[in-house]
Amino acid sequence: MPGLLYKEFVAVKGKRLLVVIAVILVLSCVLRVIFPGSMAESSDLLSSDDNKINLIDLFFALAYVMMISLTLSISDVWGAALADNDRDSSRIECYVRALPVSARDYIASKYIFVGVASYIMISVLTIIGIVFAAFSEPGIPQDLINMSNVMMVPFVSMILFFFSFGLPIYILFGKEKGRLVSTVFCIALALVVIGVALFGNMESMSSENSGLVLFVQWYSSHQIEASLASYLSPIPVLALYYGSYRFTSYCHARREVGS
Amino acid sequence: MKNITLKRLLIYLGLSFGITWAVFFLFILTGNTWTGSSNEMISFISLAMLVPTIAHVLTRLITHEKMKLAGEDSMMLGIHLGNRRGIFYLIAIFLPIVYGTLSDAILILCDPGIFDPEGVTVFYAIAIPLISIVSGVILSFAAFGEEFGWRAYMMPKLIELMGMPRAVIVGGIVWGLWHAPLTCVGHNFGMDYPGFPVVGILLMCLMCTAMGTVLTYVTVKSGSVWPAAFMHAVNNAGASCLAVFLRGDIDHPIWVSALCLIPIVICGIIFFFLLPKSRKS
Repeated sequence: MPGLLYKEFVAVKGKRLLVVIAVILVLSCVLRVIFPGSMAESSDLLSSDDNKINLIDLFFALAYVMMISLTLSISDVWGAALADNDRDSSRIECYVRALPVSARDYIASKYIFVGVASYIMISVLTIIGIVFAAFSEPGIPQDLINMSNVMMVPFVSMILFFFSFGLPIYILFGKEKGRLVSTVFCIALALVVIGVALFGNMESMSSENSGLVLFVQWYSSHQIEASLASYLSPIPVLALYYGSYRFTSYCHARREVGS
Repeated sequence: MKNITLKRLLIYLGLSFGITWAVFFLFILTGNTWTGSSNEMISFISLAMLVPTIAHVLTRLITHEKMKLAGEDSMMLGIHLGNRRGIFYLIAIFLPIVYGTLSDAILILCDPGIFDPEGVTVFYAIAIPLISIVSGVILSFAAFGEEFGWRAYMMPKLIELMGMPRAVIVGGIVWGLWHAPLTCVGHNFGMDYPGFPVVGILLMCLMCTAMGTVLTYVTVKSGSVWPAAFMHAVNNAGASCLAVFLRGDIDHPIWVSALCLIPIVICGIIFFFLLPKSRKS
């Protein structure tokens, strides 16, 4: 298993990636310490409710939110990096069968690698968030950073949720076909949303008995419970992630028998 | 061989204490205290928990020790769930809830005024400890930062030098003293108690010895530092079934804090006798 994990580490250009992450971590923390929020108190903006917004803090808060968004958006790139190229697929398949590891271990290594990588990414983002918040003045930007930090656990769930569907596609179909499938899925989803927006009965959505309004009403009255439940989301998502691994192993084994 | 081990240990301790205490003193000299600082600053200073990891890696680089991830004389980063080792992960994750709940029960017995069941639903009572576990495990990097230093480097060296029973006690005291600068500015016990800060430092050493015993047990038995990291993280997340019933605005005297350590001390004693005694364990 360590060998397989190292293979994945090399496949995603792990050393280079680790250096980049370390540089981002150190650079962003050093910059925050050099430019604390107290430096820009004289250039505060006023928000609509007369709250002051520190410009330097705002810059770092937005940078932090962008880092989190970027991590989520590149998760698909990770998935693709772990998949085999279509043209090399059969060669790699033969190579894997020659290795003293089972096909199930081979699949498991990819899932474990994604889990470890997510843990590292979340840890790095949390450290950056803590440093950014510590040198911020009390106000909206600091609240934004704190809120993003608090959302880190549901954020992990979101990453693993995406991978639960993304990894089987990439592992079973290969890199190019996997990308094609995920692109088709995204386009189909976008078309459905546009279709609903253009041709759907939008008025019914805002009526008092529509599902959306009822959901918003329910959420407003159970906001704390919903927030607490979101912190427990890793439990069902990890179960889904494990189910995804079993499904991929099963399909992979069937394909081996078939070939 | 023992001389080399001792030198390595001293280098590690020098780095770990040197860097951490420098950070802590900077925190104190800039006018901060544990009780008087913002939550953001407390979280920031808690990042010093990563220093033992940095000290571990630096020591290995300085002393040219192998950087093996798993196995004998390794950094204990592997995860092995076979041979019923998975049970030590479960112990590590759920034990803090047991002694945390018992500690809170002692707190309520000593000061019934702190008990406030108003507005607490069954959902809260179940969800809060579960959340402590989930967030503790997922965001365990800070606890890992400490454990990777203490349990994966210091303890194997101490065990090699002085055998298991003494190593556990010495390791706990060292770990407790590492926290001393923060204990002097109110960490864990506040600043307003008789015998401040010596009593606080002594209590911290007692707590670290008791908890360190359990952490060493799960590390030795599982062959991995991860159960210790998870346990430390869940412990720091304040996992307790009674936590939601407690009022947060009441301070309690130092003797109540001392009594609240009884459950973890009992756990420490039990696990002390369960620990394998051989140096090669």
